[in-house]
Amino acid sequence: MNRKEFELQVQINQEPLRRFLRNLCRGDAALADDIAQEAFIKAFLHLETFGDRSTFSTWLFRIAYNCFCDNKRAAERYSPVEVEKLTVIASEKADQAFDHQELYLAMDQLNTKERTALLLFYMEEKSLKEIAVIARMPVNTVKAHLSRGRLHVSEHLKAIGHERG
Amino acid sequence: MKEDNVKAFLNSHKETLPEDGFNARLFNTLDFLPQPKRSTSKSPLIIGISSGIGFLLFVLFGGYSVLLNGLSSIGQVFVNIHALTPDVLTACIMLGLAFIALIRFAAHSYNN
Repeated sequence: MNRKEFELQVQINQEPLRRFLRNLCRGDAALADDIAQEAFIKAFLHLETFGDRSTFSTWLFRIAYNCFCDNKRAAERYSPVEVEKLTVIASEKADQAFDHQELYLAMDQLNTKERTALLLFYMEEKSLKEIAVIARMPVNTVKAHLSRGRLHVSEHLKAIGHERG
Repeated sequence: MKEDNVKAFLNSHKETLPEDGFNARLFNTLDFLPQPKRSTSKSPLIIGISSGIGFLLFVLFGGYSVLLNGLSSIGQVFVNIHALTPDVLTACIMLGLAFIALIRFAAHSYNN
């Protein structure tokens, strides 16, 4: 893959990757974009290691997920209090901000692995196999995280009166 | 029902993010990085050389006659199938399971 082909991949993948990271970071847009930039740069520097075994998107999401985990570990090491709290960007419209807060509150009910599995499966429409590659876990473990994540979000939705049917 | 509810909730919160100069910032950074090298996979070369050496050894050491002898021995086993003892049967099953495990391991390694 050359620079031109890489730029095309950036244009295709930047939105889903940034959305995934933003939801994973519970709305911290600046942190999510920083991690996305880091992931794209790492991917560019290691393009020769990209094989045909997975799609570029899966490979990129895997790098980004690793960057997110490294970032989270570093934040936990250097900060005694949890830094990841809900952040609503000031320029966002109130309704939109409320909508996003609803999602981030639901995401707060989950641990990182459950959140990853749920976001990738339902929001980014990745297959179980792709999620297994991205999060480096067996398919059955992905299924277990999905199931637990669904249960927690479902209970949360019920508690806030969002339940349908 | 639970799955539908969660799916509908997540879908309704799927936002479209504006590009906001993300690509330009990234491409500016890439300008200062070394350009990517063409990926050079050595696997086809290694497979080719190994196959060549294997074929050469096969011809040099009379592999063809050994293969024929082996096949006829296997044939003998089936001719005398009524004389199959439990230990031979166990060995055959274990060998089969070992092959299946090896194939599964190879497939798993390839997928990862």
